[in-house]
Amino acid sequence: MSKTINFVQDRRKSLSLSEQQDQILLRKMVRIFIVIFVFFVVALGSRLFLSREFAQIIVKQQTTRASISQQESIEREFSIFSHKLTHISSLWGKRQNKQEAVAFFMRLFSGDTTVSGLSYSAETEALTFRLKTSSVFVLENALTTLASPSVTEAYPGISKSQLSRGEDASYNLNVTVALGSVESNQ
Amino acid sequence: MTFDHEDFNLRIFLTTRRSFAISLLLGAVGLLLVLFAIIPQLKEAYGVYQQIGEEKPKLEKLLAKKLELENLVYTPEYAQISRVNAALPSKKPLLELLSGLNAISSQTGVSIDSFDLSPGLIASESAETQVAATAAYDKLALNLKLTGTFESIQEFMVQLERISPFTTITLLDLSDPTLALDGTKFQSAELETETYYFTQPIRVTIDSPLPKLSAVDQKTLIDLEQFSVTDLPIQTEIRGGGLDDLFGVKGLF
Repeated sequence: MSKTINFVQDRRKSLSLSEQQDQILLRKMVRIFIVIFVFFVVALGSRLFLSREFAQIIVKQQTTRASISQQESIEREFSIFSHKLTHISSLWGKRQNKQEAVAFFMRLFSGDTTVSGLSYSAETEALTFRLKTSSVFVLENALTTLASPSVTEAYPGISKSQLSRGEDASYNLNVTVALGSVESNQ
Repeated sequence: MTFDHEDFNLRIFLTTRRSFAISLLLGAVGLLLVLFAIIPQLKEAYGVYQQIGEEKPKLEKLLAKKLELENLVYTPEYAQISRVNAALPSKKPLLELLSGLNAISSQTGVSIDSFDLSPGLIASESAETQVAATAAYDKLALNLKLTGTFESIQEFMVQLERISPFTTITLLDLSDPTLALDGTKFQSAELETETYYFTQPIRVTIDSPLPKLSAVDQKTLIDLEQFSVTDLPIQTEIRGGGLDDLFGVKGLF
């Protein structure tokens, strides 16, 4: 009877054990790889989707710009119109103050007191007019009127200057009304 | 026989530990995918996402502007463009002003004794483009001497400030009234007026939004409806005037 001696028995045992461990590792690695690959597909897909979206936005911008530039004349016309209107509004506001002040002082003085001269500076928004009174008593009344609350409340920035007496005993007085202060008060 | 453990044989390794080798390969490929594919793709996608975030509002503004422009011609404001252009023209409105003065003097019964102005360059296309771009508007100064009753002069002043181009009185000097033969009190007045015209260059860009009219502007538009606009006839042809052909060129006249 012959005897057999297996010299690689231990080796086989260790190999089959490591093979089992390798199989487990392989399964894990396959799963991890699948997850990574899915991530890759998602990343690639989202980049492609976003790039397409971005390209579409740029194309839309270009077509919209082209469409707007076709209507450039209308836009230019409207922009000039808008700027002009803004400046007219500003001029109008200043002038309206002047018109109201002129009407106010024209109404205020009548009879022996006349408003004989009137000047307006748009830069300083100051209205200056010359009051002509027939006598010193009329002048006193005019000064009282100018100092009355109804006048000082409406026009707080009133200053008087250049009082002179004419040969016919009439008195002339320059009155300056600061209209800028009226606007700021309101 | 000696068995050297340190000698590495690839063939034996691949035969005996194939699964392990495949695992190593998958791990390496996975790592390469993460490092050289997924991370760059995500970075790029994020960059594009940010660009979209920047460009989308621009597109929305452009689309809104396009829609506004399409509807603009049907708005009541757009219909007022000619009125505003008449009130604040883009060139020196000398002829329009003189025509307006003539109209209101005959309307109020005030006689214009004299007027004095310094128009500089007469209104022309070149005058329109050569204007200094410093101020938004420029003024055309005019001195007038008038005669009329106090009421008619007052009416003249009111009407003067209601004509297009936009004119404002800056100085008024009223003389003492004189009695006419029929008992009417006449006064002479010296007026200084300023007529405004627009000189500001306007730049329009595609990306800039359309200007919005404020409530004050809307009110001004309503007020401008009271303005009287001077319709000057536009010369469209040149007539020979019946002159003879002095040089005898055939077909000239």
